[in-house]
Amino acid sequence: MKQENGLEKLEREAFVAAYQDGILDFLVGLSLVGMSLCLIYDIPSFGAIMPVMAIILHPGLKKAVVTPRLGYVKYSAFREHRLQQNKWLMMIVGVWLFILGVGMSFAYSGYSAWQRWIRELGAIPIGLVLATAAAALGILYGVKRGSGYALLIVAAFLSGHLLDWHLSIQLMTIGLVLSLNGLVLFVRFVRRYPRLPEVKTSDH
Amino acid sequence: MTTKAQSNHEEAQALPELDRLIHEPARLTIVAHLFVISEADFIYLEQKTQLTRGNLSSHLRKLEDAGYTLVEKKFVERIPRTVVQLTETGRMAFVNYRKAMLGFLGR
Repeated sequence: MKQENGLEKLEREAFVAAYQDGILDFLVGLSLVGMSLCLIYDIPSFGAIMPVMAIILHPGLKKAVVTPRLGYVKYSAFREHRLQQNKWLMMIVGVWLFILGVGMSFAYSGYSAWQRWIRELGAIPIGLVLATAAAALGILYGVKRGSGYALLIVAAFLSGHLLDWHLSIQLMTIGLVLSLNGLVLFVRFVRRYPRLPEVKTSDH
Repeated sequence: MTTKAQSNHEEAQALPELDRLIHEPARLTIVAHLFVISEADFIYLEQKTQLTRGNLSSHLRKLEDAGYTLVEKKFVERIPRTVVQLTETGRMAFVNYRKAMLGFLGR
């Protein structure tokens, strides 16, 4: 493995710092807990609102909490190019997830051999979809915990299938881990980057 | 002893002419951070270098006077920011400084 030099480390840290605030982990975790509660209380349609809330809240929280602490940074041309590529790759992953989702709904609409086989798998395809998204985010943005989350999701959904758990238990487990980890990361981030007083133009 | 002292003296003489403006630790930190990105605001540099605002301002002014950095006041997402970037001269100076240090320490 190529050893990273000091400048490469600085560049990577400058980039990764923006993804170490834990806000996304916390919001995704919270929406999974919310979805799980909706399943428990038999109001699944409300569960769909949870991820939408996370998507709405995320940019606002980033702007309110992260930017004033971390400051503004424009990455190197190389990194910006990689980010652009990542966006395309994430879109491909999104399309793939959408196709899987459509496939799943087809699987539940009939009783042919393959549809029965899919049904026997229970929630495993949902777990695979979530794990793929977590792993893709982790790899593309250099955030190591993404792969950890992917493993957790696979483990939770596999054990859920083998032990015949209700889907809400798996969602609750993953949601709690994600939100607690997000909270820890957030506290660490806030401590590491305290809010500095506003810079007046006459300051320098 | 004389031979060792002589050798030390020769090595000291072989020390390349370093860019004193960059060689200073605080400024080296600033330049290194700016070298790996395109541009950053004052808060980012304050957080990364852990320098006080006054210190950072003073070092940035020296770098700006030498033409190594460019300080601009601009609006980023409708928020006024003091944005700092390394100029081409600054980048070249850092590359040369790095080469000189690597050449000397790598011997």
